[in-house]
Amino acid sequence: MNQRQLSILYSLHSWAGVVTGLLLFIICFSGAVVVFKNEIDLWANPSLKDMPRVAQPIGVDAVIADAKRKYPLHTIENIVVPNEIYPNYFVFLKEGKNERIKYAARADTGELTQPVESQLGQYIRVLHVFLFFGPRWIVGFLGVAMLVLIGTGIFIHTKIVKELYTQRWRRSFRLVASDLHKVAGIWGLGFHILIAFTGAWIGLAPVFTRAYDFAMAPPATEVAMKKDKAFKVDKADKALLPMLAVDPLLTKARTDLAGFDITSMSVQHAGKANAILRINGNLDDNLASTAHIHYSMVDGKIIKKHDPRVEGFWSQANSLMEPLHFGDFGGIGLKILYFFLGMTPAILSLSGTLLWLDRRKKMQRESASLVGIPASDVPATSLGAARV
Amino acid sequence: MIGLYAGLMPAFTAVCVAALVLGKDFDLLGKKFNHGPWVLVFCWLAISLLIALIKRPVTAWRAGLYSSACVLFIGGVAGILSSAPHSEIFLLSLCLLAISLIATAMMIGEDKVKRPKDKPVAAFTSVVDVVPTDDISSPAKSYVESILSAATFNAKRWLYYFLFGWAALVFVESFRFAHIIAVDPHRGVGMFGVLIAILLLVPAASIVTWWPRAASVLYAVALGIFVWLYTRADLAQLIVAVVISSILVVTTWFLAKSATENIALAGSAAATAATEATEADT
Repeated sequence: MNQRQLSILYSLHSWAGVVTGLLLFIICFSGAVVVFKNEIDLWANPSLKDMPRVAQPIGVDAVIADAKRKYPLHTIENIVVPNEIYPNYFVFLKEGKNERIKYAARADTGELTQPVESQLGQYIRVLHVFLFFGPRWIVGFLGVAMLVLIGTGIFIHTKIVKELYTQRWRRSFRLVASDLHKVAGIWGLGFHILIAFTGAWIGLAPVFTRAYDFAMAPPATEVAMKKDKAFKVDKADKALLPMLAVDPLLTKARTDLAGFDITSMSVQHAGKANAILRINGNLDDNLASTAHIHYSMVDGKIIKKHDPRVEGFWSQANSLMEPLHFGDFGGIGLKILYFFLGMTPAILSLSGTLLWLDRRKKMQRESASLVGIPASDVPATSLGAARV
Repeated sequence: MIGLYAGLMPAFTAVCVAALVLGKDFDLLGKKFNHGPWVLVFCWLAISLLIALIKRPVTAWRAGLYSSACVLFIGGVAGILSSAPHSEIFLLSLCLLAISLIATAMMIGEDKVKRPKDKPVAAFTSVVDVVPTDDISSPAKSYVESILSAATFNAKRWLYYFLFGWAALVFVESFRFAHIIAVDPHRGVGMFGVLIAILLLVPAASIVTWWPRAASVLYAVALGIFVWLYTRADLAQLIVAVVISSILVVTTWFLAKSATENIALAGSAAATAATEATEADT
């Protein structure tokens, strides 16, 4: 690679890093912490310590019955079943348009106790996935930016093997930060590519899916008519129909989808003719995270069944992205590894930005010295070198 | 900038500890969904401002690290006091993290720094800075030539600014289509627009300085998609997008010759900078 190409890549690396650096720092820092989302959620709720852990939790119907009895005006949005971290059920109830309250329910009796004290884990996840306010694809594009940074970084740091073992402490800040930037980048390279790629995939999948749907859909007027018709059917059907019990459908799901380990479920259009029970879960001895099955709650027929094991390549690849990104498939040891490795891109964005700032200030100092401005009038560098 | 980086960790840990200590009184995501995020944003900006008031950068970093360590320790103890599940493990983990932050804060310092040798360094070149500089290589120019050269220089500079502005405009309008109007055909067009803005227009604007013809190809691809979208959805904005994209395809293509000549000079400066960054440090 010649000098000109190197300089172009260096400029692109700097430019992309400076523009996205702070956001990447937030994303990577919160991402490293959110690996422990479930543990943090448990820690932030002292009342859950009193919840009994039972080998065979009571059926979901008991939980639903208690929720309906205590909160008849609320809608049950989602139910999370007990797992190796949580000893209890979690029930998300919706009141009004935007109020979504999370309750804990005992696994032995199904009794709803009280709203949880804190949703700290979910709060951190919302920061990581949505940056609190944005759609998910903004973070997806940051994943793309990270891939660009990785790609340009690989090319501009040609002495990879040498830089792998070069970390000089007790030298100038610039040198320490520069070495740290290279060492962290090279040692974590594989992980960074994995995280950036899976993050970009997860974040951008909805955009690509919707764009694809739009491209494949019939002309806009037909879509609008179909949507309008469906809406009218839903609204017109006001009489509440008897619904099937949930527990038998869960048992059926385990049969219909071999090795299905149920994690959560939700009900849509409860009491209506188009009521659906959506069941999500993992598959035994398989990393795939997107397995789900939908039943009609009127007649128990399968409406949709998604088994990534028998799907095509893209579906299988898609089902692997979340586990690979969040590292929740290998126990606490893997989570700790993901935490420390997850901190390295945050260090990279920090050290990279500092190097850029330092360089910029240095240029300003040198330009100022050329035109006779005293060095003391020029601000200190971000790494502090100017004042010492 | 340092304040924003150094202030994030203490603000984040402070909000986490507040969530544990206050429990239901500090509603992060429950009934008022937008309440919790703003608390973190406010804390972050406030702490960043305080750190930014510290004039010495090293002291600022130390303040950020020490305050984070302090809050982590408080969090661990608060977990024990409130009998939170796994509180002992969390106390141990948070204390270890706090110690590592304190160690880092102690490792940085002015006594560890050697003053860098003063040596002339070539001017740093960013994407926007590397603009064609016609008059550098020319020997002697007449007054009219100088005026024309300066005008060309300014025109090209504004073109580069426009390219980024155009990408931003497409992004904002696409976002509006996709998430505010959020009904097809606007939503579908918006999704495509977002992808075009980030994956085609921003890269094109970034590389146009060095590879104008590659940028022109990217604008041509964007043009093709805009034309196709117009056949799917009859929106006035798409006509504007098609027209501007057509102009950009032509402009950037014919920019190639002059830009290549002029970038050679600026490129040598950037090359010096890159070399210095990658090799001189070692």
